[in-house]
Amino acid sequence: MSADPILGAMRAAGAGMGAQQTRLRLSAENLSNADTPGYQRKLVPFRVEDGLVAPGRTRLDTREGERVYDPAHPLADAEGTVTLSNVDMFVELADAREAQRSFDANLQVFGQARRLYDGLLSILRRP
Amino acid sequence: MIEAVGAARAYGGLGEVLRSAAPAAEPDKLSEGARAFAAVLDRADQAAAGFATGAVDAQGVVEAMAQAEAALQTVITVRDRIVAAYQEVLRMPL
Repeated sequence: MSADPILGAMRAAGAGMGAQQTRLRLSAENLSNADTPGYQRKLVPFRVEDGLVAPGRTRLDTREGERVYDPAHPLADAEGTVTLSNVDMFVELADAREAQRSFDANLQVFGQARRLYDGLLSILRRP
Repeated sequence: MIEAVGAARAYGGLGEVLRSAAPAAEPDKLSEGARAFAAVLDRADQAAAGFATGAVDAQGVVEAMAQAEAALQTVITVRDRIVAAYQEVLRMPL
């Protein structure tokens, strides 16, 4: 059964859906921590594993966050500036939307593979 | 979905019967197919149970159930064709 192309298509679509779910989760984590001082946004590169997509190691974006002058902040340093997170809300929202689109595309392919298989079986099923 | 899982377990029992009926020394194609079919249904069973406890995510459950449904439909269709052919032969005038 592992050499069946239809099942291979379903498995590839399933791997794609899982990878996009990971991407969406990281976008949500970044967005929720957009105001946390010192937070570095998480990125995940995708890689190919035996033809299927797999999320690689999550790494941090090492860019410096925005420095804001706020002496009253409890985390202000000697000059009174606080380093906020390096999360850009619009970038994260666009990433989340792209993840959703890719997930929908993979879901469609999964459904089409299933319909292909059902069509094949329906040839045998004539009354 | 719960009824489908129950039906899947029943067909898994058929796999068990086939496994025990065939002698272990000679694995022929029929028992191999029955064992693979039972394995697919076992995976769907475990996925459904894992989802109830929260160990398996929704996508894993849907994938396992889709594969179990596809295997079940295949076996049912093939069995129906075999039985229909048998009945056609029985209906032949002597």
